[in-house]
Amino acid sequence: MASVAQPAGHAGPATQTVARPATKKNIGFWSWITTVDHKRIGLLYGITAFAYLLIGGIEALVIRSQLIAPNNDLVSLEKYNQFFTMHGTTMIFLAVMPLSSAFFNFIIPLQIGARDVAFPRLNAFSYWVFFFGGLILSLSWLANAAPNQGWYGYAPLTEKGFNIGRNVDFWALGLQVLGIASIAASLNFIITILNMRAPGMTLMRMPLFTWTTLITSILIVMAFPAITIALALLSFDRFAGTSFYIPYIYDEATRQVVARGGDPLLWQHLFWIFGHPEVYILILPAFGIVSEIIPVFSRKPLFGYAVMVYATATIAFLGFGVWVHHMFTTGLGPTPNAVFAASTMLIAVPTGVKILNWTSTMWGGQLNFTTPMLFSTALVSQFVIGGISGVMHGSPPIDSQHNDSYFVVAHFHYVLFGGSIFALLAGTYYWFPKFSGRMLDERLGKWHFWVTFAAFNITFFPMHFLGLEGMPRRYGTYGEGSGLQLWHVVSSVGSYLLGFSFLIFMYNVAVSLQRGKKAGNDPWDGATLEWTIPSPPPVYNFATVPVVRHRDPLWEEKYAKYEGEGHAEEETLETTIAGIKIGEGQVPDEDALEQAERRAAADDEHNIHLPNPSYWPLVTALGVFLAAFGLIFSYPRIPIGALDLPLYTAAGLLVLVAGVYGWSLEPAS
Amino acid sequence: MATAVELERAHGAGHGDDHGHADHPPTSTGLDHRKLLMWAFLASDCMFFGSLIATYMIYRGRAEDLGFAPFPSEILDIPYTSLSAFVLLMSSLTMVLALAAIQKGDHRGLRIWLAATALLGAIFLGGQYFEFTEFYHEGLSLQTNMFGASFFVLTGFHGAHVTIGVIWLLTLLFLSLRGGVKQEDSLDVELAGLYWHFVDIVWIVIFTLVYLIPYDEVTETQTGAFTYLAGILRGVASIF
Amino acid sequence: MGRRDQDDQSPAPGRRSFAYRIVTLLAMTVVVGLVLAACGADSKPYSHITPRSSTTRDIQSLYKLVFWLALIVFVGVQMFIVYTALRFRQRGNEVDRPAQIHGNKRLEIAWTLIPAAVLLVILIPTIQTMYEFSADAQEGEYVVDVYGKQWWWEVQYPGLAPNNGTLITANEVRVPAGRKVKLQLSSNNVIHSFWAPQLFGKMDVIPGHINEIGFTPEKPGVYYGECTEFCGVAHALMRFTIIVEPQEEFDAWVAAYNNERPATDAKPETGDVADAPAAFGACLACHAVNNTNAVVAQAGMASNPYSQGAGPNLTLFGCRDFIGAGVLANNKENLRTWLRNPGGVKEGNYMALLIKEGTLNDAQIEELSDYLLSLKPAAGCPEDAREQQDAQDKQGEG
Repeated sequence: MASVAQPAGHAGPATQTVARPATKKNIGFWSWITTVDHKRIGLLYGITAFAYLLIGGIEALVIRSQLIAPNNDLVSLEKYNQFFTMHGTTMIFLAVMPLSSAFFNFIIPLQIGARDVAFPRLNAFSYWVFFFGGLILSLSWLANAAPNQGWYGYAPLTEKGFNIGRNVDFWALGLQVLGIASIAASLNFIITILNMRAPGMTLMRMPLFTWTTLITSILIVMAFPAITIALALLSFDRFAGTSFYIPYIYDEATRQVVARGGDPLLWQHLFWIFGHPEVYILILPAFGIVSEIIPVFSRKPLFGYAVMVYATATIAFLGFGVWVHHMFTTGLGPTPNAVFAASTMLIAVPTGVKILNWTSTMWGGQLNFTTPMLFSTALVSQFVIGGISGVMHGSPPIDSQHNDSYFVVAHFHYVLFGGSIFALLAGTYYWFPKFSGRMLDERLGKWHFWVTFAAFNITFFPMHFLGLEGMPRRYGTYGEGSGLQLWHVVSSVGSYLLGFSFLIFMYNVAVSLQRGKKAGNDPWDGATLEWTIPSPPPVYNFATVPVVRHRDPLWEEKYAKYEGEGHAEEETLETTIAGIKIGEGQVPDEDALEQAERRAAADDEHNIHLPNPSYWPLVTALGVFLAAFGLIFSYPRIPIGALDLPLYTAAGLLVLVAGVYGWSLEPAS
Repeated sequence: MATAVELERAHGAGHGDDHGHADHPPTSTGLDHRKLLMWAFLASDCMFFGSLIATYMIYRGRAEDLGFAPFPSEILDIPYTSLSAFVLLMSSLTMVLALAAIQKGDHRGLRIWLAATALLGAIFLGGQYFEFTEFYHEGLSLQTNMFGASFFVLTGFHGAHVTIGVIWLLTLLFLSLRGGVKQEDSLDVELAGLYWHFVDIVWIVIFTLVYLIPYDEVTETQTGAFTYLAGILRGVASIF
Repeated sequence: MGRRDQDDQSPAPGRRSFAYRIVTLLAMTVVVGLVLAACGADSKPYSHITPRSSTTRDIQSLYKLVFWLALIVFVGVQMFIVYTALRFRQRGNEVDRPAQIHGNKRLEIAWTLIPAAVLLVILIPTIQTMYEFSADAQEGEYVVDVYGKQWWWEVQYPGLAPNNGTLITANEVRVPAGRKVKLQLSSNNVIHSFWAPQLFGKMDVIPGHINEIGFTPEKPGVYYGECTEFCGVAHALMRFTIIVEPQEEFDAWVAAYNNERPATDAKPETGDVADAPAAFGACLACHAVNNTNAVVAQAGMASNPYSQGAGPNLTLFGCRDFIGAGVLANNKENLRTWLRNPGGVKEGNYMALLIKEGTLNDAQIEELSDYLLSLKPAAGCPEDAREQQDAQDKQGEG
């Protein structure tokens, strides 16, 4: 056998017997705390984020229960405001983003043929900072001061004058800490993907999920600074008496309103410069997952791979130029609105191309509707609805009727549930065998899918009608004369069913972990490198570093004679988009690859480097947590020179510095 | 073929027969992980400073509009700050010399130039401290007006970057004195250098926008027009 | 190397029914949607698919254009997906792998360009409409200032009070039919958004900015509106009405408003408050009543942004339809409920900081509600526009 990239299943047990470092099973509590293994960190992300998904879901059920009847007082308006704020914040920052991270962590190194990420300890640090950020937000419930200003926190409602409690501080500092986690993790994945690909895996041979991870990471790195600064300015307003977002204050002595010069619109600009790319941060990984699943279950390569890559990049790029469409009703005037309406509609084009390319991938295939394929097909279908309604309020006059109404709520749930969550569930069914070594039960899976699909539509489709009938967002109550109750009842009933569908899923996971069918290396007849190694993968992933000669390396291995024509086409496609030549595809020549193979084989037998476990990432993350915590609970204070620092913050900074030095002086492996 | 060369280089790095640690994993781009990380981080940092500079520019002239003294035109001391800007720029030069020294294996040179860079950085910080206290005595604080708020936050954020840089340089110096920075570790110095040059370049932008562009011409209508124009330009830019 | 021709991973059941179910579900969704969207919404006062002004009709026609295009795209794409899923599902007798097609340049160019063209069809009328609206707002001849408060609306008519003063009312915007109205929106507290779905699209009310809405009310009647930018605890209870009435009735209302309870020249100091119950003294700090000496309450941009010391102006309160920004119908019973415990009716409102359960005794509540309901012209309230609308609606107009 010439290639080392053969799937172990096909090559027999040969690759299993390669000599490797001692890997005694290390599964104790501390081994998880100090782990730097990307697969374990991926699982930690997944479990934590799923817990938050359930919490966010419960918050949603409270919201739906409140709205099931007019003038309902199940919860007070203040509590209702906290529930919808925390529902949005939890779902975005603590559920969907980290669930995507879970897949990044577990799958990306496997897909690119790497043994770990570029910076394993930074990866652990990201997880722990995320964990502590979530903890800060969750602690707000215990302090009876859950954020109550909406996930988008429009100033000046977030200012001390209008929101004197700690609610906003929990939110602002929680998001700051989560931002550190996201940026650190994304930097890591950018470097990992650019730098750690297996020999022969050119950029245009990367699996599409790897591509969307790369682009999502770039989006995070470029978008999060805007909200970090926005929140920092808010904290200055709240703690230091500036007025970045405060136009007026009241002088009690003279009983006069005094202009301060701050502008609430600055918050909106900064927030949405972050906030719109954030939408793509949530959805692009989903697109990547679906782009992996549909070809495998159609037994056909992805239709228009190059165009899919360029479409993803275009969406990400344009995503930075559409933020004002969140502000069409702020009175910026017709010219800015026209410009941003145009850019908003433009972004629908690459998105539409994706939908049609997925369907074309299915066209002419041999479709096997397993649960992951069902969820993926449903995404293609449901995302169209969210996309279409998005174009509707891309038109500012229409948006003046839709904005902040339930029509918009329907729109983004079709995008984020019908898009992101469907894909994350599809990805869970698809990669669960790789995570655990066992298959999820298909019969329960199909039940889960159909209940979810029906409940999702029953819950969210009526929200379109509610929007058209004038139900605004963020309303904890509505009047009897408003004629809105019917669809609220339908939607609430749907939401209970949706909650039930997650019980089916959890039951399936619990049962399958015990009794599921053994997966083997390649249960789905997959195309990418993660299916060449055992399930679950050994700690070093690849006994020998694979060498890649094709976009679907495993299929090439298995079905070489079917790939002849396609192979040639692949190389021409990567150089053109829409008939325009973009550049020469760089294909490593065969000599170099064979050399790489020989080196890899010689190298790996006795030379697998694995990073050591480390507790410095946790220590450093703890420092970040304490520092932020001290800004919320700012007493007791200790004076340090001219500064008067909160005790926890001072302690946190000390721990942080100790962590950074301990980390950088510790040998990496 | 370029990629073949890169692969070669990558595996060279992995085997330690090139420069660098023996345990460096092979890289697809041929660039060291940490160098790529620093570049990516600096791209992100551009957005941090971009957001702060945008904030400053949006509120430029707001203090004058509302009549809340002191105004920047009264209080900014351009010759003084030019001097400290010069000091910071010179520190970029000494940083380059420090890197060149260690790449040649000149440990003494490394220590001298690292110390010089850290010293120049510290002088800049001292100048900023003096400037801040001076402004404070003249009645400008975070709370005084929009100029005070946006000026202190922007330049303070930059000052924090310089402070971290100085600590980093001193740590390297300390390690070097203990013999911990070898010729093949020149990347450690190079990374600090990348960061340091970035912080310098940002200061050039801040110095131009905050100090050099005159304030007298800014009127309310221009501010409004500027905001709109900026919005439109950003919008147009987004399309292409 | 072995090829897998047959995939035995997934059990056969569910294959045929998959297609059946997806088709049924999609069809049901679309049908239900269409039926209900087309459904008349007269019982739905906030529905914006029943436009009642030229502005909202323009938006509606734009929306219809987009809606039909969207429906074509929706049905087309869903049919493509469902047909593909049905036709190419695995049947278990495949011998070879399907043709390994990597793409089709022409097709991909086509479905890049066609959506772009469709979007251009939407974009052009969109931009036209926007500039028209903007021009409408500039041309408005009848200026009304609206101030968003936490959580009610103050409405000011500059120049309509005696001596070119400003007429101030709350939560009701009365405008004459057929005149071009310009609403100037501002706030000195948090951001609100002003939306009367049947008359105009929403416009945010942002502190430090003055935003404008231009619209021409046509048919007399009462239209309902609400706040649509989250503004704190009682955001959901910040409603208003727009009362469109013929010019002469509007003029009559202005005259009544200005003349209600004429202050005696001899005793400007006591004015009408002599008539007010002693308990009203507690209300004076926040509530003004024109032509009395209950005038210390602040109004407009000058009022305390944190809402202490500034409540709705109560002139002609007896003629208002609602209490507490549209929360309760204005009648004796509801007024008693409100005065007994305003916080119980409308959580978070600032009146509840002062008036809690038991603050006012039953006698005081009785006196105050009588007094407040008596705040109307001696000749009775100007004719209620709502009756007119009802009458017209009964005549049967689409």
